[in-house]
Amino acid sequence: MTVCRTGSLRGFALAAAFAFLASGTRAEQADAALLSHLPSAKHGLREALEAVLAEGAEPISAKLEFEEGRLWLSVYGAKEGLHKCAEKNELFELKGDATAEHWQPQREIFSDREHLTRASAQLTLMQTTNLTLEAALTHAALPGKSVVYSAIPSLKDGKTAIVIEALVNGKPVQILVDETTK
Amino acid sequence: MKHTERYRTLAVLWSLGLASCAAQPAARSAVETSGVLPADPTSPTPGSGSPATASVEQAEAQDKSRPDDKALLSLLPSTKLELAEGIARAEQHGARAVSAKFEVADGHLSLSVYTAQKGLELDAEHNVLAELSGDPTGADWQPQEEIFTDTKHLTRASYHLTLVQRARLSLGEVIAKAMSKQSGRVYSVEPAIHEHSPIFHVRIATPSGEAVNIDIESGA
Repeated sequence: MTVCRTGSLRGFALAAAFAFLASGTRAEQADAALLSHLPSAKHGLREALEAVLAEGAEPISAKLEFEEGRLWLSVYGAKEGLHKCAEKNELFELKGDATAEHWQPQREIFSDREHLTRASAQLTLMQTTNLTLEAALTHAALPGKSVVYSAIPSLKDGKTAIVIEALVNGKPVQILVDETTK
Repeated sequence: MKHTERYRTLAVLWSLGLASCAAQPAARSAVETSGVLPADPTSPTPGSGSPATASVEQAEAQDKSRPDDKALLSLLPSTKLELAEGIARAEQHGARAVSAKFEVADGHLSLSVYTAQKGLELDAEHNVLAELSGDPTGADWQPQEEIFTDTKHLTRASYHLTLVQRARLSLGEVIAKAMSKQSGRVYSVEPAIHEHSPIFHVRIATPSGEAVNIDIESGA
């Protein structure tokens, strides 16, 4: 099993709160804001993954994010699933207010450079692993009161891994799940 | 189409799923009609947790070259630059090649190399994805550079870059490996996926003028 628990790897442990007040970077401030708003989330990553699967597409990443003063639940998907490459797929996002009683995401088909390249890489990484995001969340085996706020495929040591980020007992934890994870 | 080739086509499409993901349109159809047979035709399709088949490194002579390749193969002898040389030129200033091919553009031979200008350390989103292309028949290849901004090329180049990052071989090493298995002139090399693993499709024009497709494992 290669589940790596590396809390504070991204430099946003509880100390991020101090960084926010002092001389924290914009990214740290954003992370701190996200972490502080996570308890208000009424919807989780699994719900977002299921929404993509329900339309016959394949989820390729999911996260909770704090933007413009609101907590959002976002999932990227590939309409044609994993059997079509990025060029022949339709890459999209479902994104909606994570604090609303009912998650009612808007659907956006990517057409801009930033999102096309990001989603293309994520799709390609998901095509080079047996793992699904749902399986990665299960393999991460987080405690019941955890709030998972990110599940994103990444390249780690030359292999595809799913990077799971969660708030566990009030602390951010990063877990890498790859094909060898049992 | 001969029966064996038809079977091969169906088997590859059925087992690969990603066959249509190869790069340029001309090369793509070649990938769909050649390449890797599953070790076990009854194995599950990709995406369902199927284990990788034992090997994808094999050479398969084509019964016939594609119609699109006929013009290319006839023009190929006029090149003064080999594909590997074009790749080396494209990588001179820190960029890394993620795919390369000869093609026919407006009736003329052209050498095209897709690059990640910031190398392999940065992902597609934070890289600069571009193409160098130009006439390889002159004394000096002087390619034009196009930085991709359109959906088609951004998604294609992102796919190529991610697979090359995932692989353990450079395009130059892939070509060398292919040439050790089949003599001739390499005219296309591009990354693809087989059974969840990166591979490289290499097309070679044999000395007798035939097109041969070789799949090279990426080592990943």
